[in-house]
Parts: sequence; C-alpha cells; structure tokens
Amino acid sequence: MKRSLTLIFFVCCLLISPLALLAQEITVAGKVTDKADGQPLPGVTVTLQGTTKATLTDANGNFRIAVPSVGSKLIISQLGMAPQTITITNSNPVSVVLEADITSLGEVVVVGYGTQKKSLVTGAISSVKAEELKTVSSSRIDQALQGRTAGVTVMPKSGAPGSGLSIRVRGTGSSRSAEPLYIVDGVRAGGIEFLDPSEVASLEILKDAASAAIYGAEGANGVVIITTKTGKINTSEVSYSFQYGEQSARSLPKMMNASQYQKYMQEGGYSGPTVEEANAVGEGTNWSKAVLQNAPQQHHTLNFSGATEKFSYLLGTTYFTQDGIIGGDKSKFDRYTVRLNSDFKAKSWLNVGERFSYSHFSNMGISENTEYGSVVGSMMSLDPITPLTYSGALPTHAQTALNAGRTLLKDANGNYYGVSKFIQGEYGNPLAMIAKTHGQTAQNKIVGNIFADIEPLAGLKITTRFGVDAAFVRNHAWSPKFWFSSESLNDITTGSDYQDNYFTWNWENFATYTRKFGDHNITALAGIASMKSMYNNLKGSYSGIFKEEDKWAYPDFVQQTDSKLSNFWGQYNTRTLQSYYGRLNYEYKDKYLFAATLRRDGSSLFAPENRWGTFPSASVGWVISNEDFYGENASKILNYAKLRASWGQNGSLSNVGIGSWQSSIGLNSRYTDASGNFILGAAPTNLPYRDLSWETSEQLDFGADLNFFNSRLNLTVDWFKKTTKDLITNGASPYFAGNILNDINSGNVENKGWEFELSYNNGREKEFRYEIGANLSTIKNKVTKVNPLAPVINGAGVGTGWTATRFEKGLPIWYFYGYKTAGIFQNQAQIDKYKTDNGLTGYSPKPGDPIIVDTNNDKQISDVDQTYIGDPVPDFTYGVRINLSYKGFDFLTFIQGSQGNDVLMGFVRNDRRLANKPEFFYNDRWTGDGSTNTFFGPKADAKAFNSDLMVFDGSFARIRQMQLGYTLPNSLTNKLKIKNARIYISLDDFFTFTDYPGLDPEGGNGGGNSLGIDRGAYPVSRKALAGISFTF
Amino acid sequence: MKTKMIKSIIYAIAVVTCVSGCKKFLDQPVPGKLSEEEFYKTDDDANQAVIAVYDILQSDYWNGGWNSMLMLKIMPSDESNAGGANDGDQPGYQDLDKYRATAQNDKVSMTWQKCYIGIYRANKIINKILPESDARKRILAEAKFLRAYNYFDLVTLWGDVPLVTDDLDPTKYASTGRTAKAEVYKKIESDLKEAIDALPLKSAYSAGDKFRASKGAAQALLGRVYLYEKNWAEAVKYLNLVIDSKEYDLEATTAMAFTKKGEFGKESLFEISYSNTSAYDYGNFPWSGTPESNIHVQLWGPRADAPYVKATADSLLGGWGMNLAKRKLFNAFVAAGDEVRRKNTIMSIEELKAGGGSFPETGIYDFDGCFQRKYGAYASQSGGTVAEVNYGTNWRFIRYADVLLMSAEANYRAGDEAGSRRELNKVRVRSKLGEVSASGDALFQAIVKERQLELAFEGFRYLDLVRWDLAVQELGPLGFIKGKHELLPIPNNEVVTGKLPQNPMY
Repeated sequence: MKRSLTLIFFVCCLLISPLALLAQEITVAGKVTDKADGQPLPGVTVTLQGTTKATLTDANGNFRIAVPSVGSKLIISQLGMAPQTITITNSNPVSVVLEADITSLGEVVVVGYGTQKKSLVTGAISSVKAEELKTVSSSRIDQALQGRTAGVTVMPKSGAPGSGLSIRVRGTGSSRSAEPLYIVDGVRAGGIEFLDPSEVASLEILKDAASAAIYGAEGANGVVIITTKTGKINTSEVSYSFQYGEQSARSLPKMMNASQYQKYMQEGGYSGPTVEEANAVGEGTNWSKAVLQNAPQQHHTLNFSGATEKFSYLLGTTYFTQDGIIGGDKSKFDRYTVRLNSDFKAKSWLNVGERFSYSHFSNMGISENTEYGSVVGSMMSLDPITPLTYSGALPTHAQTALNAGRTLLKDANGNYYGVSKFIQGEYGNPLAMIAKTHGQTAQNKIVGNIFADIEPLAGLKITTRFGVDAAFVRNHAWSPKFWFSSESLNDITTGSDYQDNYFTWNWENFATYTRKFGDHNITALAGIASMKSMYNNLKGSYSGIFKEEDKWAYPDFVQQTDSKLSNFWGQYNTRTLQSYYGRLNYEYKDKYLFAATLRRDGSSLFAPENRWGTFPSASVGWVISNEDFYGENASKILNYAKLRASWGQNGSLSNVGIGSWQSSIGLNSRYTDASGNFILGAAPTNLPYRDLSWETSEQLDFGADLNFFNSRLNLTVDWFKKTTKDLITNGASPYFAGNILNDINSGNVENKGWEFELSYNNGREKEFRYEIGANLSTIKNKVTKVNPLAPVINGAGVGTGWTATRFEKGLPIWYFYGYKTAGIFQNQAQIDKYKTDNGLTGYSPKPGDPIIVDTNNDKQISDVDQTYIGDPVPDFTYGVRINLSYKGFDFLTFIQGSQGNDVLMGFVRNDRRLANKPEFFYNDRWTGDGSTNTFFGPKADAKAFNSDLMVFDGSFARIRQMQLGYTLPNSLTNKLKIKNARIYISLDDFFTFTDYPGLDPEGGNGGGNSLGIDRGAYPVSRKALAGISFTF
Repeated sequence: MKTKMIKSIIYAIAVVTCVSGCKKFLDQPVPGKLSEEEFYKTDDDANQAVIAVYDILQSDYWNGGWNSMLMLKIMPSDESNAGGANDGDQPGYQDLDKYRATAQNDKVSMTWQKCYIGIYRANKIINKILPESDARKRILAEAKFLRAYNYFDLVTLWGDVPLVTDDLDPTKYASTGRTAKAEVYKKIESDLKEAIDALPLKSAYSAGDKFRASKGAAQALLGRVYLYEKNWAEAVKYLNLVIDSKEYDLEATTAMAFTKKGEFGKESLFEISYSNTSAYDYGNFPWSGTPESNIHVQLWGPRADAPYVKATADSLLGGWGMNLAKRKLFNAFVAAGDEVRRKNTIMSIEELKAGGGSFPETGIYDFDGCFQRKYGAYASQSGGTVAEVNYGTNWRFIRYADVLLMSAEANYRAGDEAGSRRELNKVRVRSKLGEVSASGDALFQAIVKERQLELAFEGFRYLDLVRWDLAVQELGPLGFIKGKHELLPIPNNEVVTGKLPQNPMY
C-alpha cells in the first residue's frame, strides 16, 4: 500500500510544472563584505526573489547576476548571517554588508531526511554547531556532547583511554540497551566513536518522538544526527590544529595504611598481619600511588577544503594518541581518521557526491570495573603490608609458592613482585598484573555513502543514497604463567585471538516536494529504505606458548601435545530492515505550524506474522510573536515566542536477538561417558514466543522557545513524558514448563521531566563580550508496568550472592536492592530490646553490626527483607558554560553536574574481608558502645555489605573545561599569510566536587542493570592541555 | 526538462520495483537453528536427546551459578556446615544450612528448575520418539528412568509437585497446580517398571556406555521409591532383584568405591560423570557457563587461603572451604570404633596437624574442627595443569552399599530380621566392623547408624532423618522446625508464575 502511495506521489509531483518567462535582462555586479571585520565574504548566495535563479560570491566576495528588470529584488544570504534584500534600481555595482545573525532564528537545523528553519521547528531538537565544537579538546564527538544540551546524558563507561560513552536521551527507556540511533550524513552508523570533533559541522539530537518518528522502528531512544563538514563555496582552506596534554589522577583514593589495616583486621578477628609486621613497613605500600601515573596525550587534525560552484571537497585527517593514567602505554589508545567529502554538480538538476570516512583504532586495555580481581580492583584491595617488589630474600609464603613450582613474576630489574600473604581470591599485585597484560584490539572502520540529488522540477528533490558502515575488529591477547594466590594463577601460557566483522548497508530513496500557495507552505516527503546488517566472527584460544614473548604468542608457533588446548569458534548472522516513510509539514504565515509523520518498518528479527510495525507522529507549533495582534512594544521585550506540542510513537530493535522468538534444538550439551570421552547431547534451547515485537516508546512533549531583548536572552523549556511499552525482558514461565522463554514483551517504563536551556549574551558588537549558557534537566524514572508472571526481574550481581539491582513496578529502573539499616547496634541490651520490640526470631546480630530493618514484618530477618536502598537515576543534571572574550583573548569555562544519583560501592566485597578498604571504613567504624551509630565495625556480618551503608550520594559537579585562548591579531596573521591562528591552554576535567568516597563518582556506569555500581572503574583523568590551531 | 523528468520517473520506478521485488528480503536464515520438528527422528537424534537429560543432572554449576542437588541435600543435615569465607559466601547454601532458606533461595530454585528441565527433555523423548529400533527402545527406557529419577528428587524434597508429562501450553501455567504426592509416586513407579522391562543389564553395556541407566539402576531406584513410600514388601522385592542379579558387589573398601578406579565399578549402579580432561585454567574456565569438571569438589576442599597446609603424606589439596564437616559426624565414627571408613570420610584438625599439616584453630567461619574427604579434593581426581578447576570426580548417586542398607531396612520393616542382618553385615564386614546380632529396635538403630557412617556426604542423611521421623531429635538443635523443614520452600517463581501454593510455614 505504502509503495503505491509513493509512486502516485511521484507522478503527481511531475504533473505540476513551473512556468518561467524571461525578458529585458540586465546584469548586476556586486560585492559582499562582513560587517565585523570588513573582509569579503565568499560563498554568499545571491537569489533573485521569487525564482530559483541564484549565484554565489567568489573568493573576493564578488558576484554577477542577470535580473529581468529594474525593480527586481535580490536576496543576499548566508548561514549564520542576517539576510538582506536589495532592490535593483540601475545597473551600477552594488555593495552589501552582511551582519552576523545573533537572533539564531534564521538558523537551520537538520531533521530526519532534511533541514528546517529553527524558528519553524515543532519538535524538541537540540542542536550543536561546529562553532561550538571548536574549543572542544576531547577526541570523541560523543564526549563533546557532555553537559551541552538539556535532556541528553553522556556518561563515560570508564576513564580508560578510548573507552566508550553511553548516551541517554531523556532517561533510560529500556531495561536493556537504550542507546540512541546514530545517523551520520544521512546513513545509520553503528556508533560515532570514529568521528573526530573536527570533522563535524553540526550535531542534532531529536529528543521528542515526533522528531524521531521518521526513524520509526529504531528511534525510540532518540536520534543523534551528525553532519560532517564540506568545503565552503569559493574558498580554499588549509587548517591544522595540534594539542598536547598531560593527564593525571584527580586524587589518590584514601585506603587504610599499614597500621590501620592491621588494627582493622585484628578487631575483625581476621588473620591479618601482626603488629610487628605492620610496624616493620611504616605507612606501608600505597598501591594507588604506585599505580596511578601521569600520562601524555596528543591530537592533530589537518583539513583541506574548498569549493567552486561545480565542485566542493574536504580532505581531512586526524591523529590522536593517549596513554593511560593506569598502566601507561599498557592502556594506550591510538586513532587516526581520514575523511573525503565531495560534491559535484553534474547537471543543473543533478548533484552527486560522497561522504567517506576511514578510521583505525588500536586499544590496549587493562582490566577494570569488576570486583573479581581487575587491576583497578586489586589496586583498591591489596594490603599495605605487601611491598611492590622484593629486594632481598623472599618471605616464606612467596618462597613456598616458588618451591612448589609456581611462577612468580619479576619486574624489569629482575626483582620479584610482592605477593600478598593475606589477600587471596582473584586479586594480585596490580603492578604485576599490568606487566603481565599483553593484548590489543585493533579496529578498521569505513563509514560512508554515495548519493545523488535529482531536481526534476522546482521544489521537487529526489535523493538516493547508498551507505555502508563496515567495521573489522581484531583482538590479540596472551597471558604468561603467573601466580598471585591459589585462586589467581596461570600455570600454562595462553593466548587468544578474535576477528569480528560487521558490515551494514543502507539504501535510502526519498523525495521532497516544497511548494508555497500564497501564505501556505507545504513540504511533503516520502521515501523507501532498506538495510542489511551482517556480522561474522572467528575466535580461537590456545595454550602452551613456547616462549613468553610477544613474537611467539600466535597460534602458528604453538606446539601442542594435546589438541584440546586449543579452541576455535565462529559464526555469522544477518538481519534486515525494510521501511516506508512519509512526512508532511504545513506552515501558515510562519505562525501556525503543523507536521505529521508516518513510518512503516518490517524487520527480519520477528516471526513472519509480526514483522511489520507502524509508527505515527504529529506536532503543532504557534509562533505568537508573528501574530498581527502582537504589539511592537511586546516585541521589544519578547521578540520571538513559539509554543510547541508533539506526540509520537517510535520503536526500538536494539534489544531483539536474532532468532530469539524461535524454539530450536541446541547442540549445547556435553557429557562424559564411562570411558572418559565426551559425547554430545541436544535439546530445545528455549520455549518459542512468536508474539515477540518491538519495544515501543510513546512520547508527549510540550515546549516553548522564547527569545528576549532582540534574542540576547534565549530560553527553551520542554516538558515531556515518555512511556516505553512492551519492554523486551527475559520471559517468565514457571520452571515446571521445563525450559526458558528467551525474550518477551512485558513492562513499561516512564520517564518524565523538564528541560531548560537558557543563554544570554551581551551582543557581538562589544569589545568585551560574554555569553552564559545553562541547561538543566530533571528526570523521574519509574517502572509503571511489569509482567504479572514476573513482577520482579533480578539485575546485576555484586560480589558473591547479592543481586543488587531490580526491575519492579513503581520503582526506578534497576534500583538498588539490599538491606535497609537503622543505625548500628551498640550493645547486647539494645539487640535484645530490638528483637523483643519487633518479635524477631532467628536473628542474632552482635554489637557493631548494622540494625537490619524487618521491612516485611514477618518477624524474621531474611533475604526477603531486602528492599529499595537507592537508585542511580539523578534528580537533575545540569551544565553551565561561560564564554568571555576581549580583543584577541577568549576564556571558556564549562561545568557539568549531576544531583541526586546514588552510587553503590561494589568493589568492596563481603566475602573478601582481608582485602584492604577505603580509609573511611577504618575512621568511621564502630569501636564500642556509643562510638558511632553510622558505620559498622570490622566484625560486621555479611548483611552490612549488602545494605544501604554501601550506597552513597553520587552527586557531583565537574569543571569539564577551563580554557584560555588567544587569537593572533589580523595585523600579524596577514603578514604571515594565514587567515586565523589561535593558541590556548586548557584544564579539562580538572576539578571535581563530590562527596562520593570512591575513586570516581562517574565510575559506576557499566550501563544496563549495572548502572551506578562502582566495581572499581578506571577513573576519569584530569588533563592539562595546550594547543594551537591555524587556517591559511 | 522532459528528459530529466523521464529519467527521474524511470529511476523512481526502478527503485520501487527493485525494493518491492525483494519479497524474501525479510526472510533471513538464522544460523545454528534446527526446529524441533526436524529432530527426534533418528537413532542419533534420540541418543543426543537423552544425553542432554544426563547432562542437566551433571550441571551443578549451571550457567555460572552454584546449584548442586547433592549440596542441597547435605546442607540441612547434621553432616556439615556451609563454611566458606563467611555468612555472605554463597548465601543460598548458608541459608539452607542454617534453616533460613526462603522461597527466594537461589539453590532451591535452580535445583528445582533443573529437575524440570530434565523432565521436559525426557518428555520430549518419550512423546516424540518412535520405538522403531532397539537403540530407540532402550533410549525411551533411559528417558523414563531419568524422568522418574527427577520426579523422585522433587517429590521427596518438595512434597506435592506439578506432574508434567508433556509440553505445557502457556494457558496452563497457572492451572497446572501441584499434584498429590501419591499420584506422582504412581507415575514414578510406572515409569520405572517400564524402564526395568526395556533396560539392559549393566554388564550388557559397552565400557563407554556404562554411565547409562541399567536394569539394576532402575530396580534399585524403584526399591528406594518403595522404601520412601513405606511399601516394604515391594521394596524388598526390587532391592533383592538387584542383589540376586549378581551384577554388583562391594569394593574392598568404601574408599575404593570413591577412587577414580571405582568409577562405574562393581559397586556403582548410577553415577553422574564429570571430566578432568577439559584443561581448564582460571582464564578459560566457563565462569558464566557450565563446566564439564566437578567444581563443587574444589568448593569443598579445606579453605586454601585460611591457609590450609596439607599433611605431609596426604594428597588432599586445598579448596574453597565449603561443606565443612561437623564434629558430630566425626564423633559418631569414633564412638562406633569405625576407623578405616572414617579416615576416608572425615578428618579432624588434630589429625591434620599430627600429619604435619596446619590450619588455623580459630577465625575460620563455620569451622567445626573437621574436613570432609569422601569427595575430597584429591590431586588424583584432577587433571590438567590447574588442579583446582579440573576435578573429574563423579557423583555416586546409587551405590551397592546403599542398596544393601536399603534392603536391610526394608527386610527389617517387613519382619525379616535375619535377612536384614545379612545385608547389613555385608556392609559392616567390608569396613572391618563386627557383625551385628541385634534385633528389634536395636537392629533398626544399627541400620540408622550404618547409613549415617557409610553414606555420609552422599545426600541421604537429611532425607533419612525426615522419613524416620528422627529429624527433630537430630536436627532440632540446629534449627529444624517440625512441620516446616521436612520440605523445602516452593521457589518463588513457581508461586508467582504457576500460582503454586507454598509449603507450610514458608
């Protein structure tokens, strides 16, 4: 049906032919200059009013155009400048001075499959332009988004070099992945980590459903649209920038020192060090100090760009390299990118071009963010008695291990690394763990598209665009023999390799028709899209590497007597998506605005009868300030006012597994027969669920865009309510049904909140200019519906045996679940009274234990008393930016923060009591009757570690950037034959204000059901940077 | 103007036809998926299907979770404490040990679930495979044995349970309900009788196939079923069939039955087998999967980081210190003058020290001065370079000594005291203990004692005490509450999704 509609639409469009008659031409010449500096403006569009006839100014700002007669009007316009209309009175040359448009009302924003004037947009779209990205000193475009706009939360998954960020648009709308859809130059991309900020011309975030609905089945978590730079007409530019930085740790986490550790363990009754052992080492080893180091980073970008009327090009390359503050070059990240963007005007009615990007990343990673013995976790857990290395004779426990044939690691000087006598488990000497880490992931990525824009008649544009996103990921790692404890060892040298290949193609065909009927403006869009994503991988592992050296650590050189020591895996899969979409925009006198979209998607991921889904949206806007009744006086204060409302539905496919609705026989059983040989078994893997469908997000948005005092003060306010329905969760069936249900649709999550964006500037004509921008978003997140068969979904485990997050109706998504405490028991009498008062049986705490609340009043303290003890969703997040400039100097400061989010300290494990702990465990501990009622003693029972006492306020404010720059004056640059040169120094992520006593308040962003759990994450480094950029 | 319009129209038509022509575009193959309709046809299919039933019985570390049916049965007994690092180490086991388990207990839930997965897989075989070949006839009988085996665990631990014998339609989830114990028993009996008819003798199996259910195993299990049902005559009948078959005999010592050599040996009727050949190390061990080695043996070794130092001449390696034996059991051996068997079942810290080993006297959670060593973390049971994660120790689930003791008990109950003493004394003599000549209640007490000592750590003690009505007497001081702890709680998931009524007092 949709297909034939599209066809009819095309045909109709072709029937409407424009009429153009020309007579009595005169040719007008002119020059356009910039009011700010008097320099000529190249690439300015000069249009004959009422026609499509237009020309552009050349490199010197000159233009020539033929006009029909005296009295014709020319419109002179350029993006970012206030347009001017001049009337031709004679054939003399004209001179036009354009002024920067500070109202931002003329600004154009990119919407799905097109652009729109910001003043006429009816949805909630945040836009970031290249101009604002110029001062960004991070290497990743997603990082540059942090704190920049309301409603968009960007959280680092880790502070390690090259690690990703998770972006949430208007809260977490899924119990699983809730990443937005990324559209780069009109083509969907698997991620945006390959983009350097210097490549980006503009970045738009479609926040409300009405804006995102044109992306239908994949727009439910918001859409991030990125447009890369192209050459500017009639220019030819070379720009280069260089930045060097030194990273350091924000602060060293305060752990117990030797005597504190000794005392704490003694008081707890654990077999820790003796007083003599502690005294012998003084303060003891400060592991953080030994591990955390300063690390360099540098960043280069080089762009060649330019354009004529027929051809435009941009050739760019960037290089970024960063060592880690943990592990140095063992956690190094390298990236280089190459971009080629070009456009050709092949015919008057045909534009063709391509956007091509190649990037290469390589990443060495050290282990982190797991409580099971990562480098970071070990740094936070190893006792202060153990030395970094042994210089003399080995202590008994280390010598015993050595005698038993275990491999103790040595440092570069040939000294054995210290081995803990006290801490067992998965931990190890973090320096030794870094030393034994050998691994690298390299990725080659190509993202690009070729396109053609056809304009068969005025107002109609047909676009066809074929894009690919291909990523080839190669990992290689090996581990030498080592021994840290009986639970952390490797007796045979092992290695592994994998290759993951991702390839997606995407073919878009759409037509846009724009027409004005008197005061009525109509734009109609219709299109078809197809997408195919393919994935394949190969993975292998092997043991018994001949020599413990990089050059031997490949499977080709492994000799094995036992073939079971090597393993080999691999698979492929494919998914497809077919889509039809359309949009209608209607405007009346720039006052009344209306837009509606409809998209229909079919996905290969579902059962044949459930493949298709339809996603509608509608939005309206009213520009009050354009009304006739709106008075001149009112305009002086509030010069622009628009009210908006929108509603829409989107889908999300990101949590649907291939074939997950199907039942099938899995060859996944292996059993040992009586001769010790493996034999294979097969059984159905899961129960079928044919009804599986998309997650659907429905959103209502009300907003207002208000500009005061000739747009000096701008305010945008939005209220939204986003309900994600039919969340894909693990199926719930009784166990007696005999098998599991993979995924079913059940449960709704609601996110609602307010967003404010406010900015003020004192005008561009001043010598001392300032601009203040602030944004604030509130989020209320709540699970509003669950599957009655599974009212509770268990989330992330922390340590052994604690399910610390849950998904449950009426509570925030993946809230923290544990014991609620009401102080600390001071003495036996209090315990007895507590038990009597509450009628408790079978509960026998001791003084120093936390008072566990019998939340379900069943007269017992048991695992079912666990309850809500906090949640990771902030009450509000905010960003503040201040820009100052005076003559050539500019100063920028940018603060970002989050308020009211909880962090669960997950790296302290109850079952590893001998592990070292943050110093406050010692300082704040209960030491006897009346000592404290806030924190437990060293002997505390297991529940203390699974209680609200491990949940902390994770609110923070971080000064993301303080940058001072100086732009060389024209007098100097002209002499040097360069257009523009700027030098700057910057402190990034340098100051952080938080009460969280762990390593980093942003440390716990494992995402999904682990959000807000700090398992010992790599901290975000602070950076001191200096850079230079110039264009000539 | 005309030409570009024509070109555009041609283009538009080309796009539309191309896209709509690809009707199959949304039909993408899913690699590695075989539908149920294409399976359960050949002998090979049938064999793979039944292996998957054995396999789930072996999955004690299932999808990264600790959930051993054997551990589940031991914890509520008076044989051992949960142990481990502290009360928060595997709280599911801790709570079972200390009679605090609730319907949320993960071990209770997962063992129940695994029983029903076994039943579901067996149901598929029984309902879908046609007895068209000898192999398939035997596999059908194996499936019936395995279904009965799982139902017997369910009915003894949870009482009335849903009796599911075919695929369950989602509309039946809430209405299936719990079936009365007697009816479940009836199904177990008929399954076992059919299995007995079709299963071969153990001796008829090839060496590699001796892991499969045999006629003797089915008879022994049916004898056990009747014993639990207090149907003495039938119990005697089936247990005697096993004894009279001469297919089985006692090993020279109990310890011998638990060595590598004793696996699938003459004393073994049914065991669950593990592998020590997977060459796991700490890196490649499937921590979130299901390993082929028996990781519970490592879990049960004396806590290495206590630290435990083994006795000079011993080969019991350190482990993770759970299932810590109770002094009460040690004392029971001592009181019975039972030295040979004790040394291979339980060890005290005094013995460890005397042998040149060491272990902290205090400060170790749940430590009662003793270590279990029946399923000991012996180097000889492991393989590969990392002993800790490569134990191949099999669980002995039906053992001839147990058959003899069950027969002794059934004969006693049925009034044949001579027959009872005859079977009992076979077991005693093997362990160099004097023959029992007692009668009446003293004879019964001798059987009770013999089962406690011979079958320690084999998962019988708790169930025996419950069916003998001795649980309050023996387990009361540990927290056993009459009327509650005879059964485990019905897992919360079943209460919510299946609307099953909960067991009393939970």
